[in-house]
Amino acid sequence: MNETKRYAYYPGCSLHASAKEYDMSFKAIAPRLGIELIEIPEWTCCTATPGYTVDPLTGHALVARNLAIIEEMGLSDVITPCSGCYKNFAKTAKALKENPGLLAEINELLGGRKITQPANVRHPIDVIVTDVGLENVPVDRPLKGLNVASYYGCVISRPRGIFDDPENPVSMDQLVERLGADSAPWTGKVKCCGGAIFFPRPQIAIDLTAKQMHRAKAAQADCVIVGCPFCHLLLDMYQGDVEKQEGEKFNIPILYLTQLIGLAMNIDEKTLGLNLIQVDPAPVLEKIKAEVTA
Amino acid sequence: MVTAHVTWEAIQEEAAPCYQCGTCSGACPVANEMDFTPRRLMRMIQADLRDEVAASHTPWVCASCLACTVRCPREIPITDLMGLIRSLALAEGVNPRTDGIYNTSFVQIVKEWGRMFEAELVLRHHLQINPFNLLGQAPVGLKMMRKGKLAFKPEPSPGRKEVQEIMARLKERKAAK
Repeated sequence: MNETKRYAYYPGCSLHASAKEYDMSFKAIAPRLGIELIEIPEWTCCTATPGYTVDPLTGHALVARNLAIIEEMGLSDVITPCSGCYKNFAKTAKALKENPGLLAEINELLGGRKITQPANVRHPIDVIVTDVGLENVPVDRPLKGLNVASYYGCVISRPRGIFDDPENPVSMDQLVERLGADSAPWTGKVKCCGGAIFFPRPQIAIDLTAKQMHRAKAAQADCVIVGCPFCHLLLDMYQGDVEKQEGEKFNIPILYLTQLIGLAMNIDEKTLGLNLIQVDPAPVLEKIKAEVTA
Repeated sequence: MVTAHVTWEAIQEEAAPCYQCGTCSGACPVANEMDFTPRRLMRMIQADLRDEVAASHTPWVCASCLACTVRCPREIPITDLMGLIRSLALAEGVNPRTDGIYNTSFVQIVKEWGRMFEAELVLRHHLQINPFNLLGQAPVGLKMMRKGKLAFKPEPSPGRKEVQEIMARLKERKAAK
């Protein structure tokens, strides 16, 4: 058992709605990884891209409010599972550290709250690889024979890789191998799904997602794992639309990386929210179980 | 460092080091959807084509994936720069209508509830653009409802008053300028 470390937890809007299985599965595996998640009680939205678009100071100020509360909680690190939130938090924290003028201005805008030292912004995969250590991830049921494509998405290791390479990240692939599965070599690792512009320009995002599905199929992936609610929404919820457009079946289940870890920990499928994903994960589950009984 | 206040001069300062190698356009997954490729837009900024840059669709097509920023040999924060151009276009009202409605609706909802309320975003957006679009959204909406992923009620944050106060202060500040 690992020593427990306390982290501020910022679920963000998605993990309370369209990505609730990401929240469920992360909370289910966290205790066994020695991760204690303390949700920021009065957290507010990071405003995704629109906040910074309307005015960069709006984006910074609304992220900063959350950073100020984390400081009040006496915690040095915050985990932001949503890649969009992660990008915004990292961007604002960096700007506040590098620009004292901006920090002063933001503190004025915050009213009573005050930031002196912005928290370290962490993605779950970073915490698992860097703090927990892959060798300490419990594997009760090795996922033998499962071919898994790791989809990092466009922002986990960008713009400058903090814990992994921005062009060819490997942390999720190493995790996959630690869990006993095969890490599928594929060309989609850091390609964009178009999530940020999906709402106003859906067709562009569907086209980008279609390319990702072709790449995953070419790699003969049994499933794709993601660490971002937008990648998941597009590849999972819209996989049917993509199939219609492309005139081709993919039928590739899209799992959150936390769900895959949970399966290797032998955690119950419902607890991991596997019933909440749209593309039926049954073939993945059958393959794992077949290996165990074989 | 991208500054917090958007001026044309700040945009020009960021784009100044560009030597037109075109790596950004090559890295961009959506360059084919743009009216000007990222490289071309950089040159237009340098050439002081302010109105043409502000009215371009390019920054709105940008998916903020950072591929250009990672590869730029001049280390220009191109993705952030696209954001600055969007802000400038919004401030001047020369943005594409659909993108403007999406971005302002999103921020309005956050102001109201402190958090995103997706059902309201879908309604606000499509009712302003074309209500018939809602029919196209229905199948996925139903799928999401069946999975309990689409809420009918917002989940107001206890911190929403504070968000509203911060936004009021931002507004005062803009007015004072």
